[in-house]
Amino acid sequence: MTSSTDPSRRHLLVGAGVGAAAVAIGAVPVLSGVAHAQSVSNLSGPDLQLTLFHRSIELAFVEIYGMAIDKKLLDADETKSAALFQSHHNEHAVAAGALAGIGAVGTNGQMVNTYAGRIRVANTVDALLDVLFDLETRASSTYLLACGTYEVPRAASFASAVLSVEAQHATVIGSARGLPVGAFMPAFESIVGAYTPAEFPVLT
Amino acid sequence: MRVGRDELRRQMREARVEQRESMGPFRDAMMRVASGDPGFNRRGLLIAGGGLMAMALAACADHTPKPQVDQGGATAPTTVTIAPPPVNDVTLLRTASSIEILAVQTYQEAIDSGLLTTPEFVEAAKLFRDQHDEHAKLFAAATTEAGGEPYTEPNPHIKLEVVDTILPSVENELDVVNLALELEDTAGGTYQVFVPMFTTPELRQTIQSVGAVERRHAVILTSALPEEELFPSPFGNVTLAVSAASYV
Repeated sequence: MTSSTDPSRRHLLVGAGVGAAAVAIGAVPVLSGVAHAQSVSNLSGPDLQLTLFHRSIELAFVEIYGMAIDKKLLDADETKSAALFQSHHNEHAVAAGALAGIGAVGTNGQMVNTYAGRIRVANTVDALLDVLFDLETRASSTYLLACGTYEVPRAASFASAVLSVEAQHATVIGSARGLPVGAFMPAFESIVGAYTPAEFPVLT
Repeated sequence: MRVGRDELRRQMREARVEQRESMGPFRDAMMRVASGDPGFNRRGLLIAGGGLMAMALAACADHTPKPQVDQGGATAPTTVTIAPPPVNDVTLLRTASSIEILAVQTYQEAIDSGLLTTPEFVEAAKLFRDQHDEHAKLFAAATTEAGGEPYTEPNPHIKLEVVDTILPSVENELDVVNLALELEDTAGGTYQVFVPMFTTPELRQTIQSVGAVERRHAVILTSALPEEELFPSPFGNVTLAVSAASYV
């Protein structure tokens, strides 16, 4: 992973005249409106419960990545990537809390316990990456399911923005792990394997 | 963590074969949807339902009839402005189809150009082309399901403003990868923006079942460009999402 901000490919777009126009869209991406969500959360009922669930599992992901990093099986580049993904999940938890307007929901303890056991017995890099790949793949399914579950468009927008990145996490980990291409590059994203509150209850 | 390339070429080829095989029943189902088979459970396939419900958005075009000829009879040349279509579920699905068809066409041109010399890139381009083709079929079927007529041409606006503009400057493999990445980011960003614009949760899920895959394509392509930041944001970037002017 590089952190350079030199957008070499952008030179291709010089004169294309699309970039600027592309920004002005009628829809407001929810993440540009996190502050807005903090002050104007009108989620209720199932949408609110689902958002709180998302916050709880994102906080769990942060802890799980911490445990994975602490195993010290990953090399420097892998550790850097794991830390980056961990930070993404923290951002997602913050955004979910902002969307819900309620920050009281904490880490999903059952999910942490489940994955802690798996990480404990993962004694090779491959085994550890398998656990993280499973996590990111199921997380992607969770947010695709949410896109089709949320009633409030703004909440669906949140789910789609998170899905976009968590699917990429899964692809990077799956590729680095050397999994079959079909595993990390499916033709369609799937809802199979999505985490659910029934499996990982939110305790408030 | 770099994207691994060991056996990537072989795996890409195998994945394409697997995809072809696995998509057989899917294609059959698509044909049944397209033909209007009344006995077919379309909701089960597409996770997409609902009818054609107009969605009033601020970005909608103003369709008030306007004079296009000088009423005074002057002979000065006039400009005819084609208003973008109304923004509704069908328009969004047709636009998505047009983006997918453009992607298929562009990947094919890239493969045919001979500029791709790294076997992994060739295999990736073929896999991505095939997946975009499947996406186009899904959107076509969803358009029919929503009561519209599927769009069957590459998006004329993006083709003109992006592909046709960039192509003359494409001289090597990395230029091709850059162009492909531009299209993938355009698709992924556009579909993400479409999510809150659709009128039903089912269609939001349908569009992102594809949008997330375009994001996966993008991260693979980005990994081939060492100077590109793999994750510029913790959330899906919509900078290259198309404007309403590109809707069809």
